[in-house]
Amino acid sequence: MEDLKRELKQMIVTTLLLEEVTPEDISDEAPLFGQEGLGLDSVDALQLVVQIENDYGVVIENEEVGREVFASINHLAEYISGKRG
Amino acid sequence: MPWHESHLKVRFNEVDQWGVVWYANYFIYLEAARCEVLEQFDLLPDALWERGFTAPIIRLEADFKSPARFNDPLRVCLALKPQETAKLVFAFQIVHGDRGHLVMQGETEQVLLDRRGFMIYKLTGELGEKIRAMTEHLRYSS
Repeated sequence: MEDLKRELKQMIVTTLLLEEVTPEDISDEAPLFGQEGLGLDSVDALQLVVQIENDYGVVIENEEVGREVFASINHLAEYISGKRG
Repeated sequence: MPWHESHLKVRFNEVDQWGVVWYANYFIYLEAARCEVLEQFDLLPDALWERGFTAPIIRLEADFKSPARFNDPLRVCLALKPQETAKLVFAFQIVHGDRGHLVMQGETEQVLLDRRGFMIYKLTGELGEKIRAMTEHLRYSS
């Protein structure tokens, strides 16, 4: 799970071309969206969803599911590992 | 080139006191052209709503190149940029109908929301098919 979390942090930085954030800056618990966390917005989610499907074959269909899944790196890693079986 | 073309003439009530089209009126022209395209694919806002979706614009980019004046003929050209994500990105150009010079150009970006306001991350089912068909029909090439 720790490897997956590291991969996901790197994927977020690379996919969204974040310039002022390194994977190490992203904590496992902090929210990915909104100003309290990483500060991503709902349109960033669209790109992450495509990348996650390409990398892990896991589909996140809409924002209703996405709000739970993107709550933090912990949530995202759990969702992906659960769906991958 | 698979751009959709729509033709119009600038009306008197669309120009400002300097006799040129007021900047935001170009977006009305663009919207009329967009509706022509959407109607061909049964994707007008009301048809979209019946299927349970809306498609708000979340980004607009526009470069104004040359002013249009009262009674100028204009050609509004639209194409769709293929997307990996669940977005609609229309590229547009407004060209002077007689002289052929560029009046303005830009693009708009739309996302899809369901009736509860949640964004759709993946285009599936009939809606996905229609949007893919429209994108293929109007595939952007520069």
